[in-house]
Amino acid sequence: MTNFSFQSSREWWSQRWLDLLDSYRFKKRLERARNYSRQGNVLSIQFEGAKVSARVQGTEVEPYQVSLFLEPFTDEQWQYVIETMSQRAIFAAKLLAGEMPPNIEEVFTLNGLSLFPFTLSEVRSKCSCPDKANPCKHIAAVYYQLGDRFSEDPFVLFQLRGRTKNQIIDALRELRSAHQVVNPEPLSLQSAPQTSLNANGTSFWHYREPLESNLVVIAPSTSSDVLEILGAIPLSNDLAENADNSSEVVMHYLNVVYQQVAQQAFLVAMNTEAS
Amino acid sequence: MTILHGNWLAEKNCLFVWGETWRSLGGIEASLDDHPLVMTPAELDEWLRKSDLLPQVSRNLLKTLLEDTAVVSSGRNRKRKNSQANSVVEIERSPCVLLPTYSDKQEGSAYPIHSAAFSLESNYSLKPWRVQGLYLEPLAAFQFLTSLPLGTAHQEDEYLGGDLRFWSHVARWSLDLLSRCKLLPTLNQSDDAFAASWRSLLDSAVDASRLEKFAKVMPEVCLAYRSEEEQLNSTSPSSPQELLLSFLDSMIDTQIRAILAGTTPPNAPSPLREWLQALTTQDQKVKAVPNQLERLAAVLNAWTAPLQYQINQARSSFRTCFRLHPPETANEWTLAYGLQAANDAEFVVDAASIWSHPVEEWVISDRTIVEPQETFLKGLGLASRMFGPVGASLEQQYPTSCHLTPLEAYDFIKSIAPRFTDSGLGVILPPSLAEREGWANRLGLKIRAVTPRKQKELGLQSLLNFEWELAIGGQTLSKAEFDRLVTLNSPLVEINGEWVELRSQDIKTAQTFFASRKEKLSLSLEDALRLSTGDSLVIEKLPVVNFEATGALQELMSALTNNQAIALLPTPKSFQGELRPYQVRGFSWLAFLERWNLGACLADDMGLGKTIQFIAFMLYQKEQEVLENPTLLVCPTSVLGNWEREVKKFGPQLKVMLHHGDKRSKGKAFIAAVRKHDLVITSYALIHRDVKDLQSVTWQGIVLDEAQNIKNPEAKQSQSIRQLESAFRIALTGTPVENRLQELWSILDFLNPGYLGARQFFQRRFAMPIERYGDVDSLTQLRSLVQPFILRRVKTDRDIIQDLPEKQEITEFCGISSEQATLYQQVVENSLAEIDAAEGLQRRGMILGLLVKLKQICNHPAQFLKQNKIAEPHQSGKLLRLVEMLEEALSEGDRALIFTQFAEWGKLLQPYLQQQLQREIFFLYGSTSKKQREEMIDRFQHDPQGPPIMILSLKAGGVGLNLTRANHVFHFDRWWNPAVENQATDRVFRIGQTRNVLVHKFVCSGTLEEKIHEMIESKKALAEQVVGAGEQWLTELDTNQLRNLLVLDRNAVIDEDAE
Repeated sequence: MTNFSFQSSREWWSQRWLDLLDSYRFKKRLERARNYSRQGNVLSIQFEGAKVSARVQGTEVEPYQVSLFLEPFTDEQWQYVIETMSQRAIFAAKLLAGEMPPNIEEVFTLNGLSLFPFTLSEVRSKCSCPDKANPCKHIAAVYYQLGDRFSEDPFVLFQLRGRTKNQIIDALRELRSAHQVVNPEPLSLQSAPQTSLNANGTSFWHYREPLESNLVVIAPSTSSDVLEILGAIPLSNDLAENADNSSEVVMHYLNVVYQQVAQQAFLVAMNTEAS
Repeated sequence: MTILHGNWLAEKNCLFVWGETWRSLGGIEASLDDHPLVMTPAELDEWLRKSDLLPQVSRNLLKTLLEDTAVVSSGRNRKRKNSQANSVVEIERSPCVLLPTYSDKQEGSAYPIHSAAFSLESNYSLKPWRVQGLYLEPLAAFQFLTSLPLGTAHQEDEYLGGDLRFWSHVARWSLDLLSRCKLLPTLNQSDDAFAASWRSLLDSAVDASRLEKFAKVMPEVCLAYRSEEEQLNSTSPSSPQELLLSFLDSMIDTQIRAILAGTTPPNAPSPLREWLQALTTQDQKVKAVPNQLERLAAVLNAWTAPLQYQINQARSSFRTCFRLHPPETANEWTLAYGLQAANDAEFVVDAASIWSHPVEEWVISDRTIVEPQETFLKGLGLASRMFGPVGASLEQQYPTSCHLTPLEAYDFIKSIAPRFTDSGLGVILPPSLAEREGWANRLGLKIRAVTPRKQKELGLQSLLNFEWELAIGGQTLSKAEFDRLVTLNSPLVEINGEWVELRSQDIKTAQTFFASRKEKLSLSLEDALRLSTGDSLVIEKLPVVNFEATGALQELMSALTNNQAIALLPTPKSFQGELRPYQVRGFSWLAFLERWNLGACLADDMGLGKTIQFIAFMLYQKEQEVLENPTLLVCPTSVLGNWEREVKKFGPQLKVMLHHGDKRSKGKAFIAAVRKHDLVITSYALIHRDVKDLQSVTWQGIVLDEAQNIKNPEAKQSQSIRQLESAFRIALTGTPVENRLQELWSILDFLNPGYLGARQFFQRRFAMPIERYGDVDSLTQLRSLVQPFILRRVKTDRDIIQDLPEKQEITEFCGISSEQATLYQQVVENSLAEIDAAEGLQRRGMILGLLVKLKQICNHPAQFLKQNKIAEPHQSGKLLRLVEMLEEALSEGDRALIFTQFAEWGKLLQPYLQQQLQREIFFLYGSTSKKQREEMIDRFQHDPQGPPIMILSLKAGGVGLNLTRANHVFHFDRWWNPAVENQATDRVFRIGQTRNVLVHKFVCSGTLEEKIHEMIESKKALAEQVVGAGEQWLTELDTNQLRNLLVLDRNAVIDEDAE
């Protein structure tokens, strides 16, 4: 059986966030907030631009409104960051391929910035509860959930600093076009071929194609490449208890299913061959 | 006459199947939009019960559905629909299909064009028609489609529409996806409900291009279905790709659930538990807390995101590609990046050009690359996950390539390249390193064969003189070079500037080869022939990677693989008649193969004169004085007489002997008699019985006429024939032997024993892949293997057969059975005495009556004896011959008319032929009602799958008929009036006839039929005067003349039971 890296479900950015929380002094309050988070008191979390809005069920009937945000980078700061990114193709390549580049933090550090806040006090927050302390347990409960959100969609981090992934990608392209001299090619006016019903050369009723040779003999696959490429499902503790373990159970099961399906399909193919 | 159609209905998530039939549209009362040619449930039910064309599994599925339908529609019990999990039927809510429709502006009517009659040239417009049919739920649909035969349709099994064949191929693809684990579990939200399902994953280049290919060849009808609610406009609600994906996802989902049925997913916390549950059971609904499910859906989305990129990558028109360059000087390989057109691997844009085009759309050589840099970078990002060196190179700003060590390069070729292609990336390897699967780039032998070794007798097993060299990737290697390469101890080596892969296993094989004794190496003519037809061969475990024939052998090879290249021989002087050019080629070809002792199969269409080509061949042999021994010709009993007659007519120099009948010679007398002849003709039936006597003769050749008679290799006659020794072997057959694999094997194995391998091997290697899956590679391979031994020309091939007359008359002489002979003699003896005593009108009447009786006996004793069915077909030589010829005609896709002057014979013949040929057969005679008559003619002429044979009584068939679709006319019994027969023949040969017409006139040998035929033929002019008035002239003959005319020639009696 394939050995999945279950560590990958705790990517560094989530871990960084949790470390940040651990550095907080008032451990008791944090503990209560963690329970709040686990018991499902955080009803919703929404990202609206650089701001996070959440609804947390407190002791009142009406849930409290929590909002929090980081200090967004200025346009100028972003410009430096993106210029640094453009020095190495790996950033654009990974972002375009749907991955968070592993060394993304370097880009910010080089410009004297940090993608992550160094202390919790950098995280601005507000809660509609009567508790004066900040963070109150509602806000802290949202903190816990955010760590998981980062592992689900790491690009949320960019958003909190004022840029979406696509904005970054666009900016990178703009930069490339500014840096490179484009030799304008004579633009051909040929339009893309239209694939209309009647133009594709088939007849209305007929199908005279032989079966493709590679589909004649169906061979079973030896391993489930798909699961290997995907790695473990990035489950978070608030969604399923003991997330790492649950993820392992699910991946193990899926792997068994994939093997079973491949074998059965192969047998079905063989049987039809024999008939 | 029935064609099953079907289509995947994405909206309903089911396969819709319906039957198309043919009926004359005149008498149909149909409501306006109902498709008039769709089968009713009753018709479909009847077809399913009667026809065994559809495979058992598929048939049973439809039957079950029909039974449920009957309940639903008769009982009007809607509840049942919901209670049935697997097979829900709604026959009342039928879809509409936009079909090619012919509109008659004058009559204001419109009718859909039958699918088999449709051609793109037809003048049509699309119009919606309501179609009644069956709905198959996904699981049933999968089982139905995967049981259908995958091969290309033959004439007789075109009961499957192109649309259903298309879906059966796509279903095969879904099975392939399952076996390759190309699937993903998903969780989808629609409104407030969550559903878990499995979907297909088309991330590899193979599947992406398959999707495009299937979308391109999808029959248009698949996009013409509309549910009732929809506007019936002409644009399809979904694209071909969407329809295909909907089908694949549904097939994959239903298959996985079927496989997992009964298993329990592990105990995971909620909502994972509920999700896994819903992925394994029949119910897709996930019952858990909605907001948790929403979260899970987001998690799964993030989890599969990288694959989404791959899928998009695989579908886009350009993909990032990686071209491996061998080292130029140092030991450093280069992997260069670029973009490659998805539909043309040759079209590659290099990285430097891409970096200078930061544009949204880049038009280059009529191609548009959307977001070239993003597409390129995306591919690089994907590749960096799989191959470290690529990732490292991306630290540059504008990466264009990376360098690889020899080991990395080998790793790339061996394991990374396949993963790249499987993930939708392009890979270009040096030609000498590509194609790891085949032998082209493997270490092997290069063989150059010169001449056959000196031998007395040449044949397939004759050994050749040849030279060999070690070769790899198109480069030859000396032993010293090979040893040097081995010491390099590297998997990639360079030979003369070409890099090739040297596998350790191949090195061992080669070392063993060098250690073995070379003088034991042998190569036969058969090996050479296989090699030049593209077959693979291994000598001492080393594959032959290159083969070349020179000198005399090259001439032989090219003549064998291209029969046009064979030198034409002059027509033998003693040949009485004229040979058409293609016939000269035919007999020259026979002589050529005979010279090399190779068995030949002449498989020309019926009517092209196989007989005279063979006679010319025999005469040529005789003139060359190579006939040392007699030749044995084996044919069906029904044509024995015909053969003897033809040989005497065209090759009177040949001494021919008929070995048959109860007076045939045996033992020493037989051997003595045989020695005096050139050609001995006997029947298949006698081969087994007289095998001892036949074995004791040394034969020059053995020739099988209608060689399909040995198609069953287990049959006694087939086995006996194989026991006879001879210098050459020839098979003559008119059936398209290449399409009937069992027959092909049997005939080839008789001609050239062992050439196609043992029967079981042949079955496994060729018959199954071709018949079950229509595997084109196997078919091509088989065709090229047998091509040297089969010469087949078809009568429609005007290029070769330019001078064929449009109407050809052939007289078929058929023997008579002992039953016929006995009855015939009795009737003649009894009647002649009475006629002698009678006079005037009474005498004339008696003679005419006698003629009728004799004709009836010649047809079949059952007709004369007024039996109600044909129980003993072998009692009539004419009937045996008719069935043989009809089988041959049907196998060529031809259509035939059979004329008889006796309605009662037609009544006997129709059910018999129907049962014998398993085809519907029409019979049109005096009592056929006008309506039936019109319908028969309409169906015969227009129904694309109408009955291919029509029997007509000569009187009924006389007037006002137009049956130009037939190209064979059989005159089973004779009117002795050429004018009447010609008039009948002209039903077929009319304006509008585009094909050559063969007119077969049956004559019963040894009877009055033959005598009158000869009279007519020898004095045609006179005969037309005499005979002009019908058969009256016969009544004027005196008793002696009459006796001479009627006396039976007992030599014509074919009696297989006589010892």
